[in-house]
Amino acid sequence: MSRMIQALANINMLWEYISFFFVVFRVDLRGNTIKRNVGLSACLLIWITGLIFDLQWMDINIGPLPVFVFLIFAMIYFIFDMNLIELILTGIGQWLFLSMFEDLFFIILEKAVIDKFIKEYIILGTVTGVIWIMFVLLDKKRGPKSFRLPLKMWVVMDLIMAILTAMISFFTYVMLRTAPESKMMITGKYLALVGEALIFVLLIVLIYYYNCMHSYRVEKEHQEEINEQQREYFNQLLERENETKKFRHEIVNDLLEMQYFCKEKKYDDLKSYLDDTLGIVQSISKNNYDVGNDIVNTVLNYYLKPINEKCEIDISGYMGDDVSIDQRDLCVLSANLIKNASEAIEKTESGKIRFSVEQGKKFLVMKTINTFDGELKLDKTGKVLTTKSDTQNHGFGIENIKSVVKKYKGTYDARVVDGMYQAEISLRI
Amino acid sequence: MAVRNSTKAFVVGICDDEMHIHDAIKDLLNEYSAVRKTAVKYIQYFSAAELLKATDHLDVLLLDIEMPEVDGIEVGYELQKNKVDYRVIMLTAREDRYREAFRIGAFRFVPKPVDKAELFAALDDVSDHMVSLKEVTVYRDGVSYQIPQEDILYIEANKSATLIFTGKADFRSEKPISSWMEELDERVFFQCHKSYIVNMGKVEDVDKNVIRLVSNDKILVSRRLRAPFLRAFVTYDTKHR
Repeated sequence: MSRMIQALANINMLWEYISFFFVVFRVDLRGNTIKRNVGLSACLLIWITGLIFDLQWMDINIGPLPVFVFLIFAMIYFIFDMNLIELILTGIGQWLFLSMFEDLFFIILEKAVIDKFIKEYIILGTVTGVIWIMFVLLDKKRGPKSFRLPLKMWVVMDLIMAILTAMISFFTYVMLRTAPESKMMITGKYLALVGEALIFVLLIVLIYYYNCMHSYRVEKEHQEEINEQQREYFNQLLERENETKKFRHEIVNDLLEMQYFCKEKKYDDLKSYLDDTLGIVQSISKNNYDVGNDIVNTVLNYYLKPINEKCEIDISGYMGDDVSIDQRDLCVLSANLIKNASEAIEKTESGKIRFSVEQGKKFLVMKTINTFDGELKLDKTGKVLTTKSDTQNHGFGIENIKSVVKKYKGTYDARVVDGMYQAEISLRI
Repeated sequence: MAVRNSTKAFVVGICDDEMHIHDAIKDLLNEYSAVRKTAVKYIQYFSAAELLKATDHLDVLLLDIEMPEVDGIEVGYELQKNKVDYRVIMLTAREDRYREAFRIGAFRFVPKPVDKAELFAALDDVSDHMVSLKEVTVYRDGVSYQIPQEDILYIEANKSATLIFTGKADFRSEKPISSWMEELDERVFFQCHKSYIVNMGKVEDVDKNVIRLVSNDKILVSRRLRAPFLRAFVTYDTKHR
C-alpha cells in the first residue's frame, strides 16, 4: 500500500514538472530516437527498482533526495528537446518556483489534520491544475516562446530566486525559533511567503513582457527589411519602365536608320543594326529576375541583382502568386535561402548561385545551390549541422526556417553535395 | 538523363503562324537531335484551329502566344480542357504574358527570338520529366489483361501473389510484391510497406502512417519508409506529375 502511495506521489511530481516545462516553457518534445527511448527506459528501470526496495526518496520532510531529483530531471531531459545547460538552468528555476508555491500551500494546510501524502496530492494537484488552467486561458493570447529567456538571463533569474528562497527560509527559521507561537510571528511568516510568491509572479510577468518587447522589436526590424526590399524592387521596375520608354522614343530613329540602309541596299549594315537593336530589347526584358511570384521576385532581385556581375546566377522554375502560403512566411523562407547563398558567395572570388522553385499540386519546393568557402560541420550523410547561436538573429536564421516549415508540414534540408552547398525547402500547399 | 526510348523519336509539335519561326526552330531541333544523339521528329501547325483539330501523338508542343484569331493562351486553355498528355512550352516575344502562360499549365517559357540554350534546356527538362509508362500484364478469372501502369491505384501482397487495384476492377498476379518494383516506374510507384506498392499519382493525402488515395482507399506506410516516401512523393509531385 505504501509503495502504491509512494509511486503515485512520484508520478504526481513528475507530472507537475513535465506540465511546467510543457505549458510554461513550451519546450518541444524530443523526437522518437534511440537515445530518448533508451534513456527513458533506464530512468523507469531505476525508478521501479527504487520502488521495489521501498526507498523513501520522496519524504517531504527531508525534501526530495538528490537521486530522485536527478531521476526526474533525467526524464525531463529525455522527454523534451533541449540541451543539458538549458535543462539545468531552467530546471533550477522551475524547481525553486514550484517548491515555493508548494511551501505556500503547505503552510496554508499546516493545521489541517490530513494524511501527509493526501496533503501532498492536494498541493501538487492544485499547482498542476493552476498550470493547466493557465494553459487553457492563455494559450491563444501568447506566442510560443513568451516565457523563454536567453540562458544568461536564466543564470540571473536562478540566482535571484535562490537568494529569495534562502532569505525566506532564514526568516521563517529565526521567527519560529525566537517566538514560536506568537500571533505576530505567524502573521510575519505568512507575509514573508506571500511576498515571496508575489515577487516570483512579478518575475514571471517581467519575463513575459521582456519577451513580448523583444519579439515586437524583431518583428519590426523584419518588417523594415521587407519594406526596404520592396522599395528596391519597385525602383528596379521603374528603371526598367524608363528604359522601355526611352526605347520607344528611340525606335523611330532606329526604323528610319534601317529604312535608309534598305534604300541604299546596305544589307550587312542593316543586319548589324538589327542585331544591336534586338540586343537592347533583350537586355531590357532580362533586367529582372522573375519566377512568377512577387514576394520571391522581390527577394531575388534585392539580394542577387547587386552581385549578378560578380558571379554566375541561374534562376529557374515558376510558382504562382496564388500559392496558399502566407506572404510573410514565404518572405522568411525565400529571404533566408537567398540571403545565405548571397552571403556565402560574397566571400568567394567567383561564385555560382542556382535558385529553383517547383510548384506541384501538393508541394512547393525551393532550392538553392551555391559555392562556398570555409569549413562546415557535417554529419555522416553530408547534412549540415547548425548551431543555435543565430536563433535571435533579426528574425532570420535556421530556427525561423524550421518553425515556418513546421507550420506547413514541410521539410528543410541543408547539405554539401560535390563541394556545393545545397539548401532545400519543401512545403505542403 | 533521358528516359526516352532510343528507338522512338522525340516528337515535337510547333504551332506558330510565322514561317520563319518554323524554319528557325527546325534548324535548332536538328542541331538538338545531333547534339543529344536522339531522333527528333517535328509536326508543324500554322494556326490554332489546325492544332486543335489534330490528333497526332506529341511529346512536347512549342506554342506561340501571339497568333491571329485565337491566341496561344486560349489554345492552352483548350488543350488543358482536352487533357492532352504532352507538355507545352510557350514561345513569345512578350515576357509580360508569361504568368498567363504558366497559369494554363505551361511547362516552360522560352522568349523570342528563340535562344538556343534556353530551348535546349527546356527540351532537356521535358525529356527528364517524361514518364513513359509501359503496360503490365495482370489476370482476372484466369484471363490475362494488359493494363496501363497509370491506372493502378496500388498493389497489395497476398501470400506469395499480389492483388492489383485499379478502382474500376481488381486483378491478380502470381508475381510476388518484391519483383513488381522492377517492372514499375520507380518515379511513379513506391513500395511504402512490405505489402503495399502505391501509385503516387493517385495519392490524395498523407497523414502520419496512412496514405489516402483519390479513390478514398487507405493504405499503410511503414514507419521506417515514411521519410523516404515523402521525399519520393515531393519529387514526383513537383517534377514528374
